[in-house]
Amino acid sequence: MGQFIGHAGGFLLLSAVVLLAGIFTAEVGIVKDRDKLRKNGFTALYACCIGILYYFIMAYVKNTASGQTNMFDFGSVFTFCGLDKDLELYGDPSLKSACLGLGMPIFPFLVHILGKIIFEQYGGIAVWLNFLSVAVGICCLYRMMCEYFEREISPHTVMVILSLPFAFMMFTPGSYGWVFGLLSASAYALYKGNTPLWLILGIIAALSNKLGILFVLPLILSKTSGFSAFVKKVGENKLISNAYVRLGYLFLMFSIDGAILFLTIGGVNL
Amino acid sequence: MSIQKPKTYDALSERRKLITVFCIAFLSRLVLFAVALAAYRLNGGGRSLVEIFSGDSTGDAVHYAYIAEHWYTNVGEKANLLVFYPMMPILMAVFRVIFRSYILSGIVVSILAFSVGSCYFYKLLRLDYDEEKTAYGMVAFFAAVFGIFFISAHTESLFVMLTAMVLWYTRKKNWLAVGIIGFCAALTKTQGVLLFLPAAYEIIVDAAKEKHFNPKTLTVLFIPLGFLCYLMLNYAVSGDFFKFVEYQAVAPWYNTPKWIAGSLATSYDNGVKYFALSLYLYAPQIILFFVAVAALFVGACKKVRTSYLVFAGSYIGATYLHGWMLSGGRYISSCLALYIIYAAVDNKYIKNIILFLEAIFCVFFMIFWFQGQAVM
Repeated sequence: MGQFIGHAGGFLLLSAVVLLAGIFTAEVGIVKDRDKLRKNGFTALYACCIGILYYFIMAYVKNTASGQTNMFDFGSVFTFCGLDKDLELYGDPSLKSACLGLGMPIFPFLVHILGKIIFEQYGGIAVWLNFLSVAVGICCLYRMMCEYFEREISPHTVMVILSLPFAFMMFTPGSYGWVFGLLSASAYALYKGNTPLWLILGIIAALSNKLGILFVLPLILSKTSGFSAFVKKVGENKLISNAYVRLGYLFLMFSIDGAILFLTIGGVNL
Repeated sequence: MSIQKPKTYDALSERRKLITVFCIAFLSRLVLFAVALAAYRLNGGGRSLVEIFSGDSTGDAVHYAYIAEHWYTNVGEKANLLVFYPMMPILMAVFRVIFRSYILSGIVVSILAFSVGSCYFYKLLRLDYDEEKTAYGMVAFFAAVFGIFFISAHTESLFVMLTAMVLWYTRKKNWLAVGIIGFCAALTKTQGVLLFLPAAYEIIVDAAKEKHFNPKTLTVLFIPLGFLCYLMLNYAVSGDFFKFVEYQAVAPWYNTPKWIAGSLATSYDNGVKYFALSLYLYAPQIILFFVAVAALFVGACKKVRTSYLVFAGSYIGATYLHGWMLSGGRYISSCLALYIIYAAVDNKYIKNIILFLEAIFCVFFMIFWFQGQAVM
């Protein structure tokens, strides 16, 4: 319970800080459209809430399955997900083994450095970085879709991504959430025509996780004739887009089921 | 054709209001003190006032008195008093010339600072709110849960006065005053240096809006300079700029920086382990943390000035970065920006409930403190 209160407090205070940062961007004129800012803020918060929901489910299922009385021992979930090795490496005194032990260097490097500065909280830093990155990534995708379809779409449409099976891994201390955010941001940069930013974010993604190489995919797809028109046609079709959202909720259930099964059976190392 | 009121009338009326606020603030301390003392006596409490205010249970007051009398030292068991900031002991030493007692001087400084701070707080509230909302904000401030520390020889009153002044002069764009008063605040309490943030925020927003940077605003850098002076004091006394960190990490404080989540979790676990202390220490500091953070969101919704919210957010964050915190409730009670947020709320029903709870706990904690319980 103490852990739960602590994490809830930390999350709330950081959310307030992010909110103030948002207000600051509006007050100094970095963001002109306050309404857009508000929508992005809610989208990011929505994404974080889904992440927290996953944590509750994982902690509850894991702790019930193992007969533990403390329902809020989130730390045990990481061990169960096979991420204890990662956590160990993040905090390894040798920066070299911290970076190279996990294959790709950038994410462990960041966690290692920040963790060293911020009270040796390697696991916590990794989780926070993922939450932040997923929130930013979701906002980028949301903006991109709004601009692409030239209408204010519902954030639910984008949030479906977080309902995909095993999407909960994005909120654990691995680098999946981090790389998701970078890929989304790089795709948005490409969409806005900022090729250097797309390349920089893409390279960082590729050096953070093997999946990061997917940053080239938006470029390939944008060059593929007919793809863009096809997406637009699908997006404009209310029937299909509604079905997509509903399918997403179905996925959410699958994902929760997947998390439960995964944690209950255990032994599966992603 | 309307008749314009002479300016002198407004000034006179304003002055009268401020004198009234000063008197009410002063009397509020005395009334609270009398109520708590009466309750304590009726409950069979037998300690004399001298014992109450100068005993070990008063916490830091005796340490401030020691520093005021002997200054800092690098030898013996009092060497660890370097963790206390110098502004309050300096004022205690000055007032001691009149009052002949360090503790009594500390109490006088506290009550006077509280009363002066109330006047600035009143002026600050009136910049944004009507008389009714201002009155609510003031009463909430007077009934602060850990209001006992606005009477005793602690830094709380002095700090809220300096906070109110810095925020007021920030709004008035008197940057030299902001710098000098902020400098004093940084020498009063750890959180004092955070007053740099609301001032810097206002400067940045102004510069962005007017597309012009005023070099006079650089005087706000005096605020972090105050903290640098404290580091230099550490060096002068002990030969180490960060000696206070070392002292804080060991007995009796055991305070090392810890992330908020860990700090709250430790508070909760300690509360469960030492249940008798929960009522005075752990429960209030956990509850007040969540109340304060919720207030930040309410403040954002109610469009409270962002620089105040920035100060409140940084204050709460910095306060709860403790490894073994005991005085979270006291610190939160000194966060002036939270009373501004309270004033901004429109729903009177909710406001009255909060005020009622606040007043009840204020008196309770005062009585507990008189009894020598662990109210820190």
